[in-house]
Parts: sequence; C-alpha cells; structure tokens
Amino acid sequence: MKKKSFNKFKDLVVMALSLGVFFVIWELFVKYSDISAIVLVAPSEILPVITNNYDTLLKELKYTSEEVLYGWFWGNLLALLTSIIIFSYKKISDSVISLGVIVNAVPLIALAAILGGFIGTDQNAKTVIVAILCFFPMLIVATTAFKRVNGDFKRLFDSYNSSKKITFIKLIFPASLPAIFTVLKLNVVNAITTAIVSEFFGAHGGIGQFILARKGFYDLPMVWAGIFFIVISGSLFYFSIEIIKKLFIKWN
Amino acid sequence: MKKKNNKILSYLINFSLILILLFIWEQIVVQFEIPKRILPKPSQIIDYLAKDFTSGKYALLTKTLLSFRDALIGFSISVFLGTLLGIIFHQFKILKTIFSPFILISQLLPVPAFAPVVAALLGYGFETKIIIIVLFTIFPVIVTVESTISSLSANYFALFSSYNAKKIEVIKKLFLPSILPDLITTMKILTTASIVTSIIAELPLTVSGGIGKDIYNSFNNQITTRVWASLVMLCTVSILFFKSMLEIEKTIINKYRYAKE
Amino acid sequence: MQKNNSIELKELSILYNDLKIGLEAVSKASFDVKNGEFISIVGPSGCGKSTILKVISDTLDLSYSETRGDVKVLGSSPKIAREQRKIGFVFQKPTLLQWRNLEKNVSLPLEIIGLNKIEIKKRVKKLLKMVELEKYASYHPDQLSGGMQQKVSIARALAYDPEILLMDEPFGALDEINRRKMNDELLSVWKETGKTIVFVTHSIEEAIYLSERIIVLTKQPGRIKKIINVDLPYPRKNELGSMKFYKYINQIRLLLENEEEIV
Repeated sequence: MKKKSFNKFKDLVVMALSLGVFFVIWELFVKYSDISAIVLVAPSEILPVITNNYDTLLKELKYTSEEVLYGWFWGNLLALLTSIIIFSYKKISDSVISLGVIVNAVPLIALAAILGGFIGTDQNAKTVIVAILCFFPMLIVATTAFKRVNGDFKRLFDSYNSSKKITFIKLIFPASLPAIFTVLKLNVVNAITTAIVSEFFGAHGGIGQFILARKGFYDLPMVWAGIFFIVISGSLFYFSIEIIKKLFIKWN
Repeated sequence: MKKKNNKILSYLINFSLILILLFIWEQIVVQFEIPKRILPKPSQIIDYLAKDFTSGKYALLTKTLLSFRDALIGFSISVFLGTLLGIIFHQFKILKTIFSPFILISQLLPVPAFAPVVAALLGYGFETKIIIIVLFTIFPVIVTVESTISSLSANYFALFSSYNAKKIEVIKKLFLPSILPDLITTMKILTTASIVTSIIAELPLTVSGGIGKDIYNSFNNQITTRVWASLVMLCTVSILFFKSMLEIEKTIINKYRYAKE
Repeated sequence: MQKNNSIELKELSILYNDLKIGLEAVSKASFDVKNGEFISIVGPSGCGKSTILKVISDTLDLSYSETRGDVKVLGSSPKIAREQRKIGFVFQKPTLLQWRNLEKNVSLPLEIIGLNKIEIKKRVKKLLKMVELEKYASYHPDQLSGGMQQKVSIARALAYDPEILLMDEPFGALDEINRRKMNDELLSVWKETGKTIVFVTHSIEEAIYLSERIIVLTKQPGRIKKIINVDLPYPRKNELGSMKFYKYINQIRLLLENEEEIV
C-alpha cells in the first residue's frame, strides 16, 4: 500500500506544481504585457481583495451553494428514480424519454429565461432550474446504462429464473454505478455553471449575481475574486464526489 | 407491423401533448391577462415567426443556423480533440496529472464571465468563438474517453501484448471501438452545451450574425415576442441536433451490435 | 536450455512491491515443460498460478511486481518469445471483442500480423472448423454461450500458430457437463496440433483428466509442493471411474490440505 499512497502524493505535488507554474506565468504576463486592467488582473492583486472581502464572498457563495447542492441532489435523485420506473414499465418509457429529450435539448438560456419568467428569480427558483438541468443528463445516462447491462446479462439471469426486482438490485444497479458516478461528477460542473448563469439573468443574491454587479462597476479584482471562489469550491465539491465514488466502488 | 404502429402512436401522443400544452399556455395568458412583455401567447409567437419567414429575409432562421454552425464546428473539434487527448492522457499519466486541474477549472468557469476575457486575450473574431466553445465542451469528452479506456479489463491489454501489437493497432482495434458507446452518450449531452456556449460566446465578440446577439438586443429592447420567437427557433434546432445524435447512435449500435437489449 | 524443453523455470520468485514487506506471490519455483507436453498447475486460489503464466507470457505488470530467478521460453527470454508471437493465451474470461463477429474475432491477431485477406479467410475457416463453430462465423459473441465463446477464444489463440498455449482456468465459469465437453475438445485440439500446453486450474479432477504431469502449488507464497506424473492412457474418459484416477485425486487433495508435507 505504501507505493500506492506515495504515488497519490506524487500526483498531488505535480498538480500543485503545475498550478503554481500557471499562476507565476499569469502574474508575469500581466506585469509585462500591456493588457488592459479591465480584462485581466494579476493574481497578486486578486489575493488581497479576497482576504479583505472574505465574509461577503463567503455569504454570496453560501447562497449559490444552496442552489447548487439542493438542485444537484434532487435533480439526480429524481432522475435515478424516474429511470428505475422507466426501466420497470417499458410502456411509458418512450414518451417519458421523448419528453426528456425535448427538455434536455432546450438550451440552458432558453430554460433560464422561460422559467425565470414563470417561477421567479429567487433562490428556490434557481434550485429548480439546477435540478432540471441535472435531471436529464442523469436520466439519459441511467436509462442507457440499465438497458445495456440488462442486455449483457439477460441470458445469464434468465437461466437463473430470478425475479426482475432481484436482478435489478443485485446486478443491474451495481453494474451501472460507474456510469452513474461519472454523470454525478459531470452534473456537479453542470449544476454550478447553471446556477451561476441563471443568476446572470436576475437574482436576489448569489455569487453569479455578485460577479455581474461588480462587472458593471468594472471592479475586476472583485470579479476575479468571485471566480476564484467558484473554482475552488467547485473543485472541492467535484473531488468529494470522486472520493465518495472510490469508497462506494471499493465497498461494492 | 406492430412496431411501426406503436411508433406512429407515440408520435401522435407526443404531438397531441404539445398541442394541449400550447393550448393551456394560450389560455393562461388570456385568462390571467398576462402582459406581452412577460409572457406572450403562443399565437403571437407563431405569428411573429410566420412574418419573419414570409418577409423573405428569414432573419431569425439565418441567425439561428449561423449560431448552430459555429456550435457544430466547436462540437466536432471537441469530440476529435477530446478523444485524442483522452487517449494521450491514458498513455502518459503524467500529462493527465499535470493538466487535470486546468481541465476541471475550465469547466467551472462561468462562460459569460470568461468569454470576454478570452476574447480580450485572443481577439474578437470567429476563431475565438470556436476556441471558447471547444474550451467549454471538451472536458466531458476527455474524461469519458480516458476513463473508458482505463476501465478496460487488463486481459485485453495482455491479449494485444501477446500479439506484439503496435500502439497504433491497439488504438485502432481496441480503444476506438470500445469508447464509441460512451462517447456517443457524451455527445448527446454536449449537443445543448455547444449551442448554449455558442450563443453566450457571441455576446462579447464583434463578429456576429448569430442569434445570441439578437436575443440579447431584443431582450434589452423589450421586444419580448422576438425573444421568444428566437428561443423557439433555437429549441427546434437543438432538438433536431439531438435527434440526429440518436440516429447516429442507432446506426452504430446496429452496425457493431453492442449488447442489445 | 535443453533442446526438447519449451519452458524452463529456475528458482522463479515473484514479488509484489507495493507493500513495505515485499509480498511473495511465488517462491523459488523450478520446473521444465517439454515440447508438446500438456501440464497443469493446480493449487488454491491466490497461490500465484496465474502469475506464473503472466511471467511466461511476459504480460506481468512490472509496476506492481518484480521477479527473481531465471525463465527461459523456447531458448530465449519471455519478452523475445512474446515479440516473436510464440505464445497463445486463453484467459478465464473469453475476452472477445464485442463489436466483432466470430470470424473477425479469430482473425484479429492475423490482421495485426499483417497477413493478406485471402490467407486470413482460409486460416479462420480452418480454425472455426477445428472448434466446430464454422456455422456461427457471422454471429456475435453476445449471441453465444460461455462455452462457445471460450472455444472461439481458443481458436483465436491458435490463429498465428504459436508453439505454446497458456490457459488460465478457461473453463472455470462453465457447468459440469460443458466443462467435460470442453475438456474433450481441448484434448482433441492438442492431439491435432501437438502444441505445448500449460493449463492452470483449481479443479483437481480436471487436471488429472487433461494432463501428463501436474504441478501442485502451495498456498501463498506459492511453492512447488510436488510434480506428479499422471500415468493414465488417453483418452481418459474410460478412466474416470477407475481406482487409479481416484488415487491421484486423493494424493493431490492431501497435498493441498496438508501444508507440512513438502517434497
């Protein structure tokens, strides 16, 4: 086990180093090129802004995080349940999938604009939008995964004459887990982007709305500070799902 | 024969569902006297679209197709480049480690906030738009390709090793066929992402002719019907794009007989 | 290396090196396999029998393990034998390519070698005939049973006419009846082709049914407990109920149960 954990440590060091190199290049680029201050701000200027406005940033982040977390959670959960129902009742599957196709195909902006008009721009509304945008990728992937596993093992389990329910619990669902976790991870990214962008269309709070306002004032260091917060918290969320996935799969 | 009947039936059901929804929409606007600037009636939207088509200029259609064309270009580049990078990252794990933070970060950046930055750095033209679209859609492809190849059973690698197969053969005969199902699934999800990014990327750029800028302008000028009409065009194109992906998926599954249900 | 030996192992040890204390998978194993011989390696799970096959075929993941001792395959190192494609491998799972039909699965190694299309078609036809699957040439793996898939796997392993066939518990997933059928088919393939076969199994009965000699391995770290000569005539169908057969079964069973007796 020692070699494995050493390798993980090595990986983290390499990642940290490459990020460090990136920030150095960024800093030097801003210092030595004539790029306008309303476009790119040096890391050295962003850092003090973060530390000075930590509380405000955190407050706005919390607002958005609630939209992201609840939306992600419910969107994925409902999608999984719907997939299971679809899988069990093939008759309604086609019409539900068609509906899913249509909603997934409707671009985010259209959805945000339409729903913004209907359900308002408060935090709950954003949560709903996030949930919807997580719902359909998960629905598509989960139903595809269930179908595929079923095909692989159909003959084997038919020969055991096992009930459909047991087949599902013991075989199909566990075998679909890798695909499901991949979508969970991608939906993290999806949820965050959705929340931020839908805040751009009008919101009562949140870090997306915060960035937009500061952008209007050309307070670019603040904009970047907000972006930093988004990236860091988003990465943490993403990696925690990665860790949960590894634990879960190990356990299975 | 039964299958065809079922297909026609489901089309009819879907079609009537849409008609019913449109009818309800129309009635809600009328009954609750919702002002046009918040929610126009479906009849008004259809009216607007009809006028646009019959005027001979097809303004909305052309703009939508232009945005779609750019989305398609970015989408295709993402798929090919993403597959290539996924394979490279699998082969050279060190590259994966170095670049993975940047790949993740690129996905977490809010496109509307970042598109202007990219534009300022790289110019305000067509190439920048494509670069932005690729930047924001390539991550899922790389992740899918790399993880699918990594999860191949070690036996397959041992098999090709026992044939002393060169790397290019392994890629051609093992990697590419294996990733195809998952790649198509990812492509299905990316259809909307590429279109959305295309729209958003238009806003800071000077090169235009796309529907994104148009929506933005009409939104600001409160020409709500035009906004909704544009959105309808956009949604139609998105749905068609998605359906074409489904067709591609069906062809591939049939040709390669991946585990059918 | 002796002229009539296909494989020679001298004091082969295999260690896993991702632990503080090196974990020995196999410890100082020595045996020879003659040309055209059919031998089995028998032992409990995890005793390193599959790992030995990996060393012989040069498919061991060297980032997790290292070897000590000397291994010679057909006069040279396993690496050269693999590069010269002298070894065919049949895995526990058929490992067929799902997106190719049977004909294209068997032709896979020949495509990689670069044989021309006519020659490939000829060879594939012959191979499928040998395993009695010529009628199913255009079928896909998912349309066949596990046993049939393994037959394709065997045909594929023989496609480029390797001198040695390594088989890692190939019939483990099959039921009793199909296993017996596959054993007979394998023996007829062996008779027809005269290949050297190293067969790994944890079924004592199967080992006795198939092989001329049996290498009995202890549990981890795998050491060679005893090499048994199976003095029974082929075909061994008739020997199944005999006293001699049962004596061999008992002998090996005792060897595996009784850890103290090392010869």
